Parts: sequence; C-alpha cells; structure tokens
Amino acid sequence: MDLDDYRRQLEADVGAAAPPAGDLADAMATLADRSGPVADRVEAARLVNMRAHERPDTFGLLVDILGDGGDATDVRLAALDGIEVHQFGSSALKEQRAELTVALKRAMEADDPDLRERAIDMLARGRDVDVQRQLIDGLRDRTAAITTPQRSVELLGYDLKADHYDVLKDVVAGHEDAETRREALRLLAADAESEALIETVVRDKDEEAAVRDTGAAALQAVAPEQFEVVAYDIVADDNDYDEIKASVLTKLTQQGSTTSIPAEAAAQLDTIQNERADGEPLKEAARRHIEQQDN
Amino acid sequence: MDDAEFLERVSAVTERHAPPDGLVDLLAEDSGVFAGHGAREVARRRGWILAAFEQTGLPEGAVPYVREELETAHDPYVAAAAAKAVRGSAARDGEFAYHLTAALTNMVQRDDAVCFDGFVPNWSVGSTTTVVAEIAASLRWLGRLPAAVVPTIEAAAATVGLGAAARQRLTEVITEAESVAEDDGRVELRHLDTGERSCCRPASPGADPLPTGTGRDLARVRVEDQAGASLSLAAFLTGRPTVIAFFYTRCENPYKCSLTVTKMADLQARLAQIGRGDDVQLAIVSYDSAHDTAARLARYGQARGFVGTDHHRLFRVVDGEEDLHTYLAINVGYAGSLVNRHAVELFLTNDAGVVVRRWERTLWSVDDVLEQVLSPSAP
Repeated sequence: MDLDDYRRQLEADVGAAAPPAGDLADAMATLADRSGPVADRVEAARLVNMRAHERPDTFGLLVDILGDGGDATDVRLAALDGIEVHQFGSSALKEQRAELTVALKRAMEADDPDLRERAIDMLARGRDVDVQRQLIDGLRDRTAAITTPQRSVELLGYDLKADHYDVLKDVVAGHEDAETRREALRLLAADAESEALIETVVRDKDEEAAVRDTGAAALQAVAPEQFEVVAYDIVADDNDYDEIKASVLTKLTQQGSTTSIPAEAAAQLDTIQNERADGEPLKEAARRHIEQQDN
Repeated sequence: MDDAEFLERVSAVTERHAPPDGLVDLLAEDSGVFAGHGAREVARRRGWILAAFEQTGLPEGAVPYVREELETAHDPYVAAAAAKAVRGSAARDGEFAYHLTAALTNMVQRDDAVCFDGFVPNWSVGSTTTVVAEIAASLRWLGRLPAAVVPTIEAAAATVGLGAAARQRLTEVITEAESVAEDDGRVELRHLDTGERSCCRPASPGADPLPTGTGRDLARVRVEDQAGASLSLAAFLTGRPTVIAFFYTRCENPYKCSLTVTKMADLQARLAQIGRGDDVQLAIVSYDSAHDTAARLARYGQARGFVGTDHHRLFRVVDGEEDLHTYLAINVGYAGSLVNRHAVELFLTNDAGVVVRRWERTLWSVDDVLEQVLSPSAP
C-alpha cells in the first residue's frame, strides 16, 4: 500500500468510526426509553458514548442502564462500552463511582456471559474483594466458578495482595492445563514462601517445557541466588532437555551470575561448545554465557 | 480461621449481648482472625468488626483502632465501618470530628459504594451506602463540631469528581453544625478561632504503653542495611537514642509506610538543621525482609528523601525477626510471606536500646517526636 492508498484507507476508517449524526438529547431520550426497539437504543448508545463528555448526565444514564437487570442485554453491553471508554478520563463518570460499583455487581448476575465477564473484569481491576472471593471459590470448587480457571488466575493477578497464594499453589500442583498453571506461577513469583514449590516445577523433567520455563522466571524473581544453583544443575544434567538448558542459561546471562560456574556445568558448557552445530539455540546460549562470565 | 468461625466469634458478642470488649480483642493484628488472609480479606473482616460497634456500643479499648482506621484507612469499606463505629460511642466527643475529617480528606477522591447487609452481601437486594455518606452521618451525629474542621469539610464538598449526593450530604453537615453553633450562642462557626490545631489533626492521644518484650531480647537479631552491611541490631542501638519506625516497600497504603519514611526523612533533615544529626539515630525497619533487599530499601528511602548514613539507616532483618517483633510487641500480621495488615507505630529507645516512648496507632508528628527526643528528660 502506497502512502496515498494508506491515507485514503485511514480517512475511510476514521469516517466509519465517527459518531453518528444526530442530537445528543434525542439519543439520550431514545436510549432511556425501555420500551423502544433494542436496535434503535443500541444505535443511540453509540452516539451517547461518543459524545458523553458533552453532558455530565450521560454517565448517570449509562450506569443506570448497566445496572438494570430487566433491560436488554445488548443495550446494557452498549452502555458498558461507553463506561469502559470513559472510565479513566471523565470526572463526570468518577462522580458515579458508587453507583457504578452497584451496577457492575448487578451486571455480574446477568445471564449473558459477555456482560458478566466484562463486569467481573472491571471489578477485579478495582480489586473488589467480593469478586476476589468468588474467583478463589471457583478455583477451589469448579461448580462455584464464575469464569474459567485461567481467567480466574489472571484476574486475581490484578491484586498482589489478594487472598490467593494457597489456591495458586494448589493450581500449580494440581491438574489444571498448562496455561493456567503458568499464570499461577507468574503470580507466585511474588511469594517468598512458594520458592520450594517453584523449584520443584523447574527441576521436574516430566513437566511441560513451557511450564518449567515460566517456573524458571518465577524462581529467578523470588530467589535469584537459588535460581543460579538450580540453573547450573540443569545445565550439568546429561538427561535434561536442550530447550530448558538454553532457557535457564539465557536467564542466567541476563541476571549476571554471582558465582563462578560449577565444574560439572562448566564441563557441560565446553561439551556443548565443541559438539553442537553453530546456530543451535543451546550452543548460542552457552557461548553468550561463557563470554559474559569471562568478562 | 474460616468465615463461619469468624462470624461466630463476632456474633457471640453482637447477638448475645455480650460486652463489646470481646470484639476489641479480635482487632489486634495477631488475634488469629486475620492470620493467613490477604489484605483485602483482612480489611473486610476488620470492617465487619468495626461496624458492629455501632450496635454494640463503642468500648474505650476500641477507640485507638477506630481512630487509626479513620486516619489511615485506604479501603472505603474499613473507613466507612470506622465511621459507623463512632456512632456507637456513649459520648458525642468532638475529638472524633478531627478523625472523621481526616478520613474524609483521605476518602473524598475514592468515595465508593459499600454494603453492610451481611458479611458477604447480596448486592442485588442489599441496601448500599458510601464511605462519604457514613462519615457525613457520623459528623451530623456528633452535632457540635469544632470550628477547625469546617474548612476541611467545605473543601471536601468542593472536590471535583465527588458525586452530587455526597456533596449534598457534606453541605448539610456544615449547615447543621452552623445551626447548632448559633443555638449555642456561639459566633458563626466558620469564623471561630481555629487556634494552632490543624484542620484534620487531633490532639496527640498521649503516651502509649511501652512493650514489655516478655522473654525476648535483641541479642540474636541481625540486620542488613540499605548498603548491604550486616550488623547486630543490639549493637546499633547501643550508645545513642534511636527512633525506630517500621515499613515495607510493598505497602500500598499512602497514609502508612510511604508517609512514615517521608516523615523520617523530614525528622532527619530537622535534626541536621539543628546540628543534632549524629546525636540521635534513626532506624527504619522492614516488615518484609524476604522481599525488601538492600537495593530495594535504598531505592525506597532515596525516593522519599531519606539519606542513609552511619547513624541513619533502613534495615531488613536477616535473623531473629520474631525476637524483634516480640521485644517491641509489633502490630503486624502476615498471609504467608506477605504483610496483610500493620499498625502505624514508632519507638524511641535510650542509649541501652530500651524503649522509653512509643507512638501506637496514631499518625505521629515530626514536631512531637523531635520534642521528645530533644527534651531535657530524653533518654
């Protein structure tokens, strides 16, 4: 695409995103009319959302609709669109903070999963303790879950101090999928008491490589000196995998190890240097690490 | 302690009309009802206990906790609960107005809905209130307000971003207080001499009881400072009076650790101004030694103007942390390795490392500490 084409495309995109023409007061009236056609009200919400800053009372209407469990889901979702867009920049919306909290709690009860998820997400970002409790309960008892395990762990991650380290340890040690366990390991990187569990994951050759790799990063954060010990043990282990060896060597190089390379690991690094083909990730990682140590 | 056991402990007082002093014991950081829970959950439990005082009556022993939460709470639920607790007081003590307006100043930018209809409320059916609404309700309940707090309430009411309903409530507080003042035959409230009292700083609550340090001393306590030097804390404390404060770098409450270290930096500067910088030692000790490495201590102190010197240091405890906490009767709780709650507290030790003054659950002032340190009867 040349520059002229790009400009034409950009102008078309901007035109498509422009607020629909119309009177804001009319749009608010249409949006507020619960008996009106849903499609018309959603279209009206689009205009209201785009021009919400022009009238401070628009946010009261949007929040009111979001919290109305009897209103149409599409209209509530459209109202939430506007709230999300303006949540960081509008003092008029800030004035509705208390009402918004109540509306989001009510939206959490909606049948529609999208509306529910978005309300949960917004409350979790605000570190709402009721939502945190429900997320934790859902990880402990799947029948009580308000979202997927992976999403629950992600949402708990918004709050370093949530009441969740025990349940995260259970997730890592349990049978959740790899992505969920990796999310949990990332959060446990802030918990000094999880060091032993994380180390077990990193050393476990039966564990998935991606999980071990995330565990290595977590161990590096929570206990840099112990990570160094574990990393060199992995490098020295004839039976461990190239992928994880390359990963821990790279992390060690970035960290800058505080001790000299143990003899067994040094011998392995020599072997890698001598026997592996140029361009192999493990050989490259070994070369960079030796160079860094020599410097 | 799970929810059921916790609620049973609270309802044993609230529903069986037992003396409310039983609730005061639960508020201590090491009471057991908070152990192992995250900060948000601890806030919920503390709020639930504090709110109960509105119904049970507010015992004298609970007042320092209420005062502390009003001055330092960062969580709207806890601040609202502390405001409710005031209304359980037998006397409409105007001193509470200073604490309530301090809470108002802290919370006016974060007014939010809270619900006390159940420990785990159903928001679809429960009645909700807000933190500013609860503070306003307690100010109105007090009736007679000190003139010094009125400008603070007026400023809060004018805050951008505050909702219309909250603004209206605060306006009503002022109107009513002025009406009461007129009925009392006082001059117009807002023109009364406010004296030297700050708008939101109550009078110093007086000396707090000293820790007993039962069965423990500092012999085993080793610390590392912000430069990475390892030393015995007992040795550091010997030879000069020392002001000891506690903090941790992961603290999210701007009215606690960040403010504490900033005030210690101010104290350091004031001592230097009068040429006493080397006569009085300053020790700022982390609650979170596993996380707060020397580099993190250095960065945190530096960012708040605290300069590490031989006699003024930030510390992490590398050995004997339990001995230190027991010796000073530190008010801190943990969930695993994370601090889930701590009080604001400060200690003054003499040249033998013995505590001679303690400020507990109060926003100590630099002036007050300086006065104590420099007084002729100082250690």
